[in-house]
This record gives sequence, C-alpha cells and structure tokens, in this order.
Amino acid sequence: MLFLDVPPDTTRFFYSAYAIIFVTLTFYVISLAVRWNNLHSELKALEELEKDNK
Amino acid sequence: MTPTPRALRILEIVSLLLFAAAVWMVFFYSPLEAVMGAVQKVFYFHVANAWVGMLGFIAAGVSGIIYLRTKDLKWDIVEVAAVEISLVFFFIAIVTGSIWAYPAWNTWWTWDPRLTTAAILELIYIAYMLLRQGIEDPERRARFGAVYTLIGGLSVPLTFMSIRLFRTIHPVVVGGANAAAQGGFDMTPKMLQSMLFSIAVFSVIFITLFWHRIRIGNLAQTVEQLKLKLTQ
Repeated sequence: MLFLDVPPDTTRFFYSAYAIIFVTLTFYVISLAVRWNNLHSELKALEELEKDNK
Repeated sequence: MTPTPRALRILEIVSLLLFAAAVWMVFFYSPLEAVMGAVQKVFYFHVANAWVGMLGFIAAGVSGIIYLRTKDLKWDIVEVAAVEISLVFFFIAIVTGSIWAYPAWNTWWTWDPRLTTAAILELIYIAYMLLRQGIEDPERRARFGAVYTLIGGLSVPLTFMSIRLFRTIHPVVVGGANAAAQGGFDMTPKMLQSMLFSIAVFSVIFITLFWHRIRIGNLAQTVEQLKLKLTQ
C-alpha cells in the first residue's frame, strides 16, 4: 500500500465491517427483547397457575 | 412485571442519538487516511468495541469478587450480564479487526500476540457461558462463575498490554510506536475526536444494554423461584 499517489479503494472492506457491526448489534438487541417477552409471558402463566392452586 | 424505568428509556434514546452521531462522524467527519483509504475508518468502532468488551470483562471480575464477599445472587446476575454483552462487543472487535487486516496485512488472520490473546480471551468467556449451563444449583453456579471470572479477568490486562510487551505487527496507535507494526498511522485531530467520541458512545450503549440484561437476569430469577415454589 505504500508509495501510492491516491488512497487504494478499500471501501468494500469498510462497508463490510460496518454492516457486521450493525447486524450483530441489531440481532443482540432483538435477542434481549425476545428473551424479555418470553420470560414475561412465562411469569404471567406461572402467576395464574399459582392463583389457581390457591 | 416492573415497568421500564424512565431513566432507562431516556438512556435508550440518548444511546440511539449518540450512535447515529458516531456513525455520522465516522462516515462524513473523519478524514480519509492517505495510505489505507476507507478501511482505516473501521478503526474507530473497532477500538470502541474492544474497549467496552474489556471493560465488561473487568466488571464481571469485580462482580465476582463482590459475590464471593457478600454471597448475594444479584451479583451473579450482574456478572453474567457483563460477560454476555462483552462477548458481543469483543466479537465485533475481533471480526472488524480481521476485515481491516486483509487490506493492511494481506491476510484475514495471523497468530500475532494481540490477535492470539484476543481470541483466547473471547474463548475463555464463551467457555464460561457454556460451563455455567451445566451447573444446576444456583449458589454453586454463582460461586463457580465468580472464581472463573476472577481468574479469566487476568487475561484482560495481558490482551491489552500484548502489543506493548511483545513484538507484534498490530499497530499501537495510542501511546506508543512499534517498529514492527504494519498499518499504523498518525492521528489527525479529527481522527482523534472521532475515536474518543466512538469510545464514549459505545460506553453509553454498554451501560444501556447492561441495564437491560440485568433486568432480564432478575426476571429469570423470579421465574425460576416461582417454578420452584410451584413444584414444592
């Protein structure tokens, strides 16, 4: 890369890296939301079961 | 279920706005580096992700120490949350580093001291998550986790210092120069501002996700306790 008059075209690496960052973070945030909703549903079901048992 | 705290809602919005600002700085504000071109801009989020990743692993070690002293299971929840989020950020740092490496070093991966210690660090904490799954008793699991993160935490300073202690081709952009480094560059003020801003933004994002993950841990504990109560 040395001794070039103009910077080399490395934009595809740049976009690939940022695409991976966006996709990974999005997936993680979605996974947090899904886990929260699943646990919340489970808690509601268990609470109803507890009420029925009483 | 406890509603989402107002402070967390505000933090979410602030995180999103700051993230958008950081992306703008990387794409439009920071200059194009003369030797590497656009791929140099991977550096800003790469460093920020590595920073919060290491921060989380240290936070997990500290939580482990507090758990061992107090035996309060809430510190186990904090510890797992810190490790899980750090694994995500550190994974991003490793992958983006590899993408940067190809045009800079002409290889996706090399067993350089920094890359090797970073890969080992990630694997140590992947193993932590897997091994935890195999322990049923919550207190035994928490004790194991605390000791593990305490010992695992020792690899964090080793990974950080590896480019300063060993002969490596990984550039030391901040606070030092390395004759063997390939792909290093001198930062202009705009580059430095972009890097520091990215680090600050990812620190805020880390806090937001950390808070959410702790809330999930607390909810999971409530569900687990209720299940136990119903089966007895």
